[in-house]
Amino acid sequence: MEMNAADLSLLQAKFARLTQLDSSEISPAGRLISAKGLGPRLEAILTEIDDTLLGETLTFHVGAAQIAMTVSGRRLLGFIDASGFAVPDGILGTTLSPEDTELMDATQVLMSSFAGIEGRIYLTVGAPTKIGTGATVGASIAQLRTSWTPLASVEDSDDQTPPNAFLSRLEGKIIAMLHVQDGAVISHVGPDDHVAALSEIHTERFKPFAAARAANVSTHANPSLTCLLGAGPDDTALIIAVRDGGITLLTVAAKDAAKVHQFWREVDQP
Amino acid sequence: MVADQLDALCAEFSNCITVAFADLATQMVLVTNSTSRLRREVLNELCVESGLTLGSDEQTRLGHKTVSVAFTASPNQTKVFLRATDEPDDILFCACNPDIDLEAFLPAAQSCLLKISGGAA
Repeated sequence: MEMNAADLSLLQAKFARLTQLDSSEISPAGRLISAKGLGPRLEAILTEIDDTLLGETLTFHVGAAQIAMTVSGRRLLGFIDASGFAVPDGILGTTLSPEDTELMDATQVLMSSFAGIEGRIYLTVGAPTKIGTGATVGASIAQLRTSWTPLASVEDSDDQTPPNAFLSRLEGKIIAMLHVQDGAVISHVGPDDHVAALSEIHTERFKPFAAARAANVSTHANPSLTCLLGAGPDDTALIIAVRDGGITLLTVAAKDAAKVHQFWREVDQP
Repeated sequence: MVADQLDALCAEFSNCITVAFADLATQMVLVTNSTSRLRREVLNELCVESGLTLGSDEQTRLGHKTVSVAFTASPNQTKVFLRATDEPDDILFCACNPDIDLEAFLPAAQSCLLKISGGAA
């Protein structure tokens, strides 16, 4: 097969990157993915998918958690196995289709949960596992990046604004999020039913609640965090963080609500 | 005695400054811990805020249903609101320092309310 200059350049870049890997970081658990923070970790996983030309099964491990996916032609065909952390229903064994927005949202929840687990990520590569009928095209890197980026775009940096620092600390715990700034919805992530519930709460319920609170409670001040356990869809905790004209509505598992308070305090009053 | 239960909760959690047992139907604060220094007006406001935050059958505020556990944090204070499961008008509200450890405090406060509301106090 003849290669053009662009192909050669691509191969040279890939070989250069491979030679930079520290061989001492290859363990029985696989090759180490050296990345810290939710965004860089998701990007590192995307890079591994992007580097996979022939059909392979990529299995990522963090401690006792692992996630295995079938990748071919730089596209993610689907997830074949995941364990050691909360896995949304209906993803494993399902071929990916970018038109299926509900499924793509579920992959965002899955990957942010996995990439948010503390510890080193290791990668092992194996023979491809057939998924579906074998005639799927899967999702491209660009489509995955669009789906996964809303949480990955929160930079893990000392220069983060308090809202971004707060969200960054919540890595993997957010089920859904709706961020509003000066009355306009800026971003949203998560399952459609959760996002719809957050949107309804924002447009119909929060303003009268805030007004009633302001009228009756002289001791309330912003920035503030309000949490109602069980008020979100599927009995999740509803969290509303208010700061500087911005409102962030979240759903998290009820068991994580106290942690949300801790992280908010640590960001607000370091 | 109910006051003893409230005092014990504050003794266990030094960041809990005031804890009060109240009746949501009448918006009346019934008992507070003995070391509370909050004025009656502030206690009444906290009682109103409890009803707003937890919601009621007549006016569910934020969520789509009334809840039994809620908290609000601001720079200077963290407030906790609890509703008894079997007696929805029995509530406990707590005014705490901002750094209260909610992971430990919430179950202890729920246990305290259960004892009071269930008549075991």
